[in-house]
Amino acid sequence: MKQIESPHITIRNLKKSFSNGKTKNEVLKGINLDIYPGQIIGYIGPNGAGKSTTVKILCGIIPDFEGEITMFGQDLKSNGLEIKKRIGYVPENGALYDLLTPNEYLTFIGTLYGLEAHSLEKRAKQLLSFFGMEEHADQRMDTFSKGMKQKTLIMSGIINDPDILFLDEPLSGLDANSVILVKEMLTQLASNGKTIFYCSHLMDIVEKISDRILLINDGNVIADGKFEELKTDQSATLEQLFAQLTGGQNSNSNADVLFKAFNEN
Amino acid sequence: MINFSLFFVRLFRKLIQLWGVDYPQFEALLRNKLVLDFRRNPSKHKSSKKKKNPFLSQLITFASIGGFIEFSLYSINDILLNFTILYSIIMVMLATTLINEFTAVLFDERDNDILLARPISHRTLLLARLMHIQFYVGYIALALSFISGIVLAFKYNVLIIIAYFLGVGLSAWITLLFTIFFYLALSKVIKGNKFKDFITYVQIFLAVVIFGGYQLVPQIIDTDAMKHIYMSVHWWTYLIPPAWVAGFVKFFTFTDTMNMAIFFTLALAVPFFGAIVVVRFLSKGFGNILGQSTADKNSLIETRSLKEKFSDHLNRLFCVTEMEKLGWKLTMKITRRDRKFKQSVYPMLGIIPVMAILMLKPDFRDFTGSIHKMGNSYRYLFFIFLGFFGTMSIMQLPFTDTPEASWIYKALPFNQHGHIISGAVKALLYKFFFPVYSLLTICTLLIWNIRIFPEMLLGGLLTIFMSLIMVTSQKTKLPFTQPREVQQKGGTMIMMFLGMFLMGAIIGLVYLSSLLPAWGILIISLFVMGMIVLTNRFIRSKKYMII
Repeated sequence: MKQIESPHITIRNLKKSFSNGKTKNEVLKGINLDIYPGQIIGYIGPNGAGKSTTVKILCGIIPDFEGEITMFGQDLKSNGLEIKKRIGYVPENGALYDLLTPNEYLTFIGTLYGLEAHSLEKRAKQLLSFFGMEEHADQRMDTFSKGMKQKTLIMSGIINDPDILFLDEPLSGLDANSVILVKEMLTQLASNGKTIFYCSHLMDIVEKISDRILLINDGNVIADGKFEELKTDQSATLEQLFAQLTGGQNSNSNADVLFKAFNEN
Repeated sequence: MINFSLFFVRLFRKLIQLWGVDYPQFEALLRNKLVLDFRRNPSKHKSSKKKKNPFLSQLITFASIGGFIEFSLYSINDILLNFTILYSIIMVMLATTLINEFTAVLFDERDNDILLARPISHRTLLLARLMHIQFYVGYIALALSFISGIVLAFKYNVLIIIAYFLGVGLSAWITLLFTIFFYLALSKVIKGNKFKDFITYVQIFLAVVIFGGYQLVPQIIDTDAMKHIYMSVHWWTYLIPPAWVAGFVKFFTFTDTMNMAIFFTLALAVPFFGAIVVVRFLSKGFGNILGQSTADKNSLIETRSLKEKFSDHLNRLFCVTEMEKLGWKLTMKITRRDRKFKQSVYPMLGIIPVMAILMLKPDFRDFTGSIHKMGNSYRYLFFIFLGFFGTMSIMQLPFTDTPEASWIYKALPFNQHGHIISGAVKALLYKFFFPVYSLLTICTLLIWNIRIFPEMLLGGLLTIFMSLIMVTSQKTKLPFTQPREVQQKGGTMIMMFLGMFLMGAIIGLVYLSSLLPAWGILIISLFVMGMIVLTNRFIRSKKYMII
């Protein structure tokens, strides 16, 4: 019934290629999508399929692309600034200023979103306590573990109360308890009408929490729908489906090649 | 210091907003950058308490250079000329520092993932970056002009001195605007990775020009004539930025008011409107450069790894063991691709022709005559000395941007670290010293004749021997394992002076050997060759600390 609402994101014929001298590398080859409020989208695909590129384009980090992207009814190319105010982004690879403390970092990011100092402080405190990070709030992050940095990144991604949240490998480095916390957070945000768009390689989690799974391979979306709709007789799990659709199903013969490599000589 | 600087910037709040910048975001970005810088630096200098803050010692150097400049200009009586030259020098020095040291800060792409997804306009981001750089450039400009200011105080009144320091601030800002304008215009013509390569070449070119300039300009300036030179104002004088600032200062002497009022207006209007043009209209180009660099990471760079180059095969000739060959190949490949390695090595090579002219001082009015005269002297020994610059790449060998990758040396079951080092050193000698020294030898054979070839051969072999000795005497680290920051602690400087000292000894030896007949020199050369082989063996067998 949510589908009747107007979509949060529409993507029409999105193409992106990176050129380097003579070689041209086409990463996205024409993607068309409509994404509605309240959906949790699991965006999966093999390494190098174009997942991060898609997310970076949607967040405005890569500004030039072919095709049309509309978010909240506004064109991304011409109204990027307005759109960015309403989205959140959790980058991969732990990109943050680790010489700051979580408190300082959240204040910095919040100020960039134009939040008032008072409400910002309150919100940062609540987020820190939700993630169990109060005691580390004023410690420099260069000594933090990967998981603690990741939590700070997630907090900074939602500090502006975004309507769309993009996450790139959000669960990397998190311990099992934190994974549960993040899963809870995502479901709750979605039930409040926010759109969640996340990339992951963890098939079992994608299978469980996504309303809709997008499988991208070689620059094209090759599967789109609920897991129940997508699964076939041969693929009882998302992992198997993934392997089947992206050409990894002959893994048995691959293993033979591997053994051969070691046994010759 | 951060709060003071931010307070100072806050005075211009209205102006900054006029440029189309979101002030609270701007201040947050600037504060963040300064905080990060301050946290990064002190920890470093805690670890080595003896060493001063590198930025501080840089400032002291700049201050003494600035003082020296004004002393040499002191005899100029024309105030406009004096200040035009002074501001020209300040601007050129600032531009060089900007291009060489702050380009990386301007186009820093490491925080792309943090910043570009936030609702920050290109204008705000660009101005924050510019101000961050201006913070340092301002200090450098102040250091450069500080002693000059004191010297000038003996000559002019207080009003002029105040105007002079204001002028320094304006010069710094004008230089910054022109530099960024140059970059943005350039980025429209040259795209992507090529843009970065091009900047590398500009940096190398500048390093050489500046080095040559330092040596040559004082020799050209004739101090006696300077006293009577007058700078008259032509239409094109209005096109020279340093003249604006000089005119801005002269305006306060209240002479020649008409012309000076024009300069005064230019000196204030250009920084203001220039900033509007750059921040308001060109900032989109800046955003595209940043976005491009994110994109570059995603593009695959095909390299001809399958078709190996000729030099990759040559290792069979020079390398004894498999591990040595590996060190050679690794070094060949990385030196070919690492932009920063090129940046630190190529200027050294560019210095060679400048040094050649400086040391030989040929008379350009009677070039053939002076070359002929040289043919009867011992000056070819200088060429042997110049070959030394070809070996300096070895000092850059340990440094890399990805020191983390050195875990392989610790974790892998392998202890032939010496072989990697000797292979790498051989590769560098082959790649940089060999062509440089061959070229130098050809030059000497043209000016002198084949008769000195044995001496050149001996000189080359001794230089190789010396650089190997320096490798063994130092706690040489494995190739490409040390972070680049360590480099700034002045170790390279000391090594360079030690090398130059040893080069003096080598030249003495070659001079002595020239008293022997040619076959005698060849026998000594054979002996040195043997020593080189032995030293290499020693490098290979030595145990190394892997840090």
